[in-house]
Amino acid sequence: MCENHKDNKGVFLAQVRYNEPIGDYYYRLSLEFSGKGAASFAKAKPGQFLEIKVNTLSTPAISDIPEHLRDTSRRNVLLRRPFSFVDIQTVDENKTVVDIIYLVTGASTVRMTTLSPQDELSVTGPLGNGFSIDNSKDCVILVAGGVGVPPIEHVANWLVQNRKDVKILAFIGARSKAHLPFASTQRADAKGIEELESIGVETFVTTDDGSFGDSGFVTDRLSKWLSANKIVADKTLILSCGPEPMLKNLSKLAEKSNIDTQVSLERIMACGIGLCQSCAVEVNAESKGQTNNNTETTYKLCCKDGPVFNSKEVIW
Amino acid sequence: MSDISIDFLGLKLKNPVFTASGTCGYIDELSDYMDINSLGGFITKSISIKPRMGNKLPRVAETSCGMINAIGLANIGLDRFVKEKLPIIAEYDVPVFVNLAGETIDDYVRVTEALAEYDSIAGFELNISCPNVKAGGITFGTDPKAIEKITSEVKKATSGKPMIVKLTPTVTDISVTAQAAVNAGADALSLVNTFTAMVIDIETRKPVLANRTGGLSGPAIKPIAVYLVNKVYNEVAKPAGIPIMGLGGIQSASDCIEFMIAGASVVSVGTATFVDPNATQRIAEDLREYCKRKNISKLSSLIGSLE
Repeated sequence: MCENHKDNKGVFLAQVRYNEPIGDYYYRLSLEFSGKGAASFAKAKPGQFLEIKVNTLSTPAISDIPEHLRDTSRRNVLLRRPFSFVDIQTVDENKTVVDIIYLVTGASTVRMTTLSPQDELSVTGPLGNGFSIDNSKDCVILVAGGVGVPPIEHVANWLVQNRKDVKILAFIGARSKAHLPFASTQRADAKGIEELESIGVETFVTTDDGSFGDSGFVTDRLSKWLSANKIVADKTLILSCGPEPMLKNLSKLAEKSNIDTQVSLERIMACGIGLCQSCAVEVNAESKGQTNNNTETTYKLCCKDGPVFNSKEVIW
Repeated sequence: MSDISIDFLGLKLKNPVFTASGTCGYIDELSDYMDINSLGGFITKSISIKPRMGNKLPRVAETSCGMINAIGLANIGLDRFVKEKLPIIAEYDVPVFVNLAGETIDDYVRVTEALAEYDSIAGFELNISCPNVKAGGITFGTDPKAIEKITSEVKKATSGKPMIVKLTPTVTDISVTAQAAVNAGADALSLVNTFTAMVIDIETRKPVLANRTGGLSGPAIKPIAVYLVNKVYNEVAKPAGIPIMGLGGIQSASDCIEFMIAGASVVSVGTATFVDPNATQRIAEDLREYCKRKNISKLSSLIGSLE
């Protein structure tokens, strides 16, 4: 007979610890799991994700909704929304704390801003496959853009704690200073990204408008760094999350430099658990996706086979 | 305790709740979230003779109280289904119906013939109502003559196993298409599939879905689906003695009961599973509460009981 809950995914109730804004665009939501949920999320890896049931959340008072979202926030929401982790802390056997950072961007994330401490949320997870870092690598380059930062901050902390032998560099980009999802960079006198620098990660920052760090794209900054510094390509690994054009450029750069690269992709998902087939990712046919029609490309599912993919298998 | 079992197509079902095709995988995808064996029945994702990659992205868009999809019947195809999924299906104690898709009648017939010999398959659901593929699907389901032809041809290939015909609501009079299916040998009717619909991105003035149109599902369509089930029950199914599987936006036991009062013997649940992976099991369990409150000893006594 088939066993239920064989790999510890599930739908769990989480309690909100806090839900606080980071600057004008982001919120950090901290959730506490107990019981089976605590055990399941204690095993979750950076790059995996969870899904939050948002259709039971109320809409904020119209004056509390950012002006540019007031009109679109009027529609109802139905489906869960996927979020990657920024931090997971196992407090004890019966308590795991999971934090996410979300961008307030539409009808569902506007509703999430109303969450308060003690509120209960229905959460599905942990879902998908996270980053995988094999022992042959001694240098990990992290590359993130905008709302793609949280899973990269998560993996940075994970590496610091679990792979002390590895040198870690981070290249972080955003549209502007305010679009960097860090508490430290929201301050007027911010000098760098303390969340990463304080754990010993050498960090390079770019903003499109030059309002923080270097002006320009993060992939160009990385390209410049790669030409100025000698690295052993086959001992180096790039882990990345961000907008697809950034990941596409990164993929080209990585191929040129011969560096293994994993990208965490984003897709619109109806279910997040491999049922609806809406989050397809076109990949080379040899990487055997969900279907194989003897064509050169095929589809994998972002939710189940990803969201982390090898950059070489993705058809950009 | 109330009896929520249902007699349907010669099967004694534990309850009237089925998974709806395309929303629950091939059989075990939901096993992390629920007890598949607790279901009244299981309907697989559509199976076509060859694997299908499906449509370009975006394939889904959320709407108020619903969603539109144009997946394009992405599936692993007959051969892989037989090799990889049938052995798993055989391990479950739940009647499994295979949803059939194809571009030609011959496609449908070949898939049906290949699967009819397996004891683990209880029956078939003939999908002639998918709005998201260029060939097959809804093109068979809107013309009564075409429905009669495909229904009778595929029925011959089922080796006596029951066949449900799944109807599209995107027709002028669904009783006409329902009658055509019944005339040609449908053992049951399932209705309704999704409504052809569109969502437009007002920034780009382009349709959101790559396929331009998609099928609308979810609670937004439920009252229309209830009306259509009641219409087909009165005009076609009841006179012919054919059972109906009702679907369209069911999220709760109350929704299921509404469909049964309208004339459905069983229901299937689709979009709700995307929101709550154990929705089908929860709905089946919650049916007892209504029976208890209304002092109903047999749930099946509700079927077609609309005053």
